[in-house]
Amino acid sequence: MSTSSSSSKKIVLKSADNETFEIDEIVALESQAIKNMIEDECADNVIPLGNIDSKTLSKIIEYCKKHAESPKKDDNADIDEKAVEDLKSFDAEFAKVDMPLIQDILMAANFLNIDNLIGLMCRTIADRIKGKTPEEIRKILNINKNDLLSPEQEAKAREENSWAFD
Amino acid sequence: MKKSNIENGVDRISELPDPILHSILSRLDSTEEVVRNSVLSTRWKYLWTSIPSINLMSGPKPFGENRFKEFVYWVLANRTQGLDSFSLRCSNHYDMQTIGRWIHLVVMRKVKKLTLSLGCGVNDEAIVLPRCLVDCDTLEELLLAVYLLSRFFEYEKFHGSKTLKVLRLHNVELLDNDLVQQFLTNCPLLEDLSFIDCLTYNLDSLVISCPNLKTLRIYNKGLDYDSVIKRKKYEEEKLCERLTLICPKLVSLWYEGHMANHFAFDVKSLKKAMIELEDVDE
Repeated sequence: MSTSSSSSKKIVLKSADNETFEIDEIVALESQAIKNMIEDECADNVIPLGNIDSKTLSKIIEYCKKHAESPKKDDNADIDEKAVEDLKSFDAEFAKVDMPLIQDILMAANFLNIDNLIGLMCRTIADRIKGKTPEEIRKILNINKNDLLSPEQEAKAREENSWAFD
Repeated sequence: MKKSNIENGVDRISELPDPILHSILSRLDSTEEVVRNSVLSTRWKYLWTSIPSINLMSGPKPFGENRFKEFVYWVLANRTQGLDSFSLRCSNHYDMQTIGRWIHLVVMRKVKKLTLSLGCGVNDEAIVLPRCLVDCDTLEELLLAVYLLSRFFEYEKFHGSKTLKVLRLHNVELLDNDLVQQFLTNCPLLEDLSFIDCLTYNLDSLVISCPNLKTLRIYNKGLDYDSVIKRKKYEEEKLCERLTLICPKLVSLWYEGHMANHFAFDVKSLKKAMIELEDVDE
């Protein structure tokens, strides 16, 4: 299902652990940050992504490939419902990964400025913490233990916003 | 070499900028749930106070009527930033004056998307949206649902919006074709219009004339007309006689159920239509 052809322009991304990924330019353009770089002609042959490891980067490329291949919503074009459904189920499968990887993808998507992917990851995180207690959420999100409120502070916060807690 | 937090379990989420964390919080079910997360850590403590979308629901229990009122005032008056979206669902009865005050507050917060699901009708009070919405130059989307039949276009206070793009009405009775038309004329940017289970049987004709409308949805399928008619003591006329669409830029039309006996469509740009009619006599 690849749209690549020998003539299409390629972009090379390099991860923090020095793995390189050659992808079609159209796939890279899903990232607003890379798109800006290319448009400003400040992208070299290889774009180093020093804060994204290869595991995260390959997931992100998988996402961008799929989304680049899918027909875009357009006011004047018929929205292909099957394609929309297909993309939805791809997204749902894509998000079935563990929380640390979700957080890595979210950080990277934020850095690369990929709006849809940021939204998907935020939705996934929200779904996983919905209806959970603060204790459970701290565990799920791996909240920094050095940043916790003191018991007195927490009691005060609960008191101040008691309407939300009972 | 791997810096992934998969191995070393670092709290990376708290390093993300506020808008990302807001985006997570705003996808939770209610603003109470968002507020509860203020005790997660110092990073999260004040995040909710700047969240750009507020979603309030007076469920069957959590708030007594007065506590809910106080809470809504407090949530709305407490902040100065713009508000992307405000959604209020209250099944209990609140008088229109209270709801009007809340709407004033969200207009001051420059609301873009306003969702109101109201359970008015205890005193058969009409839903009257305040005039401040007319001058609200940020409003793009308005969704209005009422649990009991009520009126919306009967009054002229909220007579249109220069900025409104999306309008969805659920269970709203359309009482006067002239006012509906005038309202739509006063919404020049309107692109997306839905009438879901809206009553029209008091109208001889309904004209939907919108120069920029692209999507129109009319669903009247789930409505139990007979029980409505019994309750409202209407007699023979069940349907509006004629529905006229003058929407030169309309691209998509969904029509399901029954709203009128006769149709006249002027929709040159139409690309997609889904029409399903029901036999009204059965």
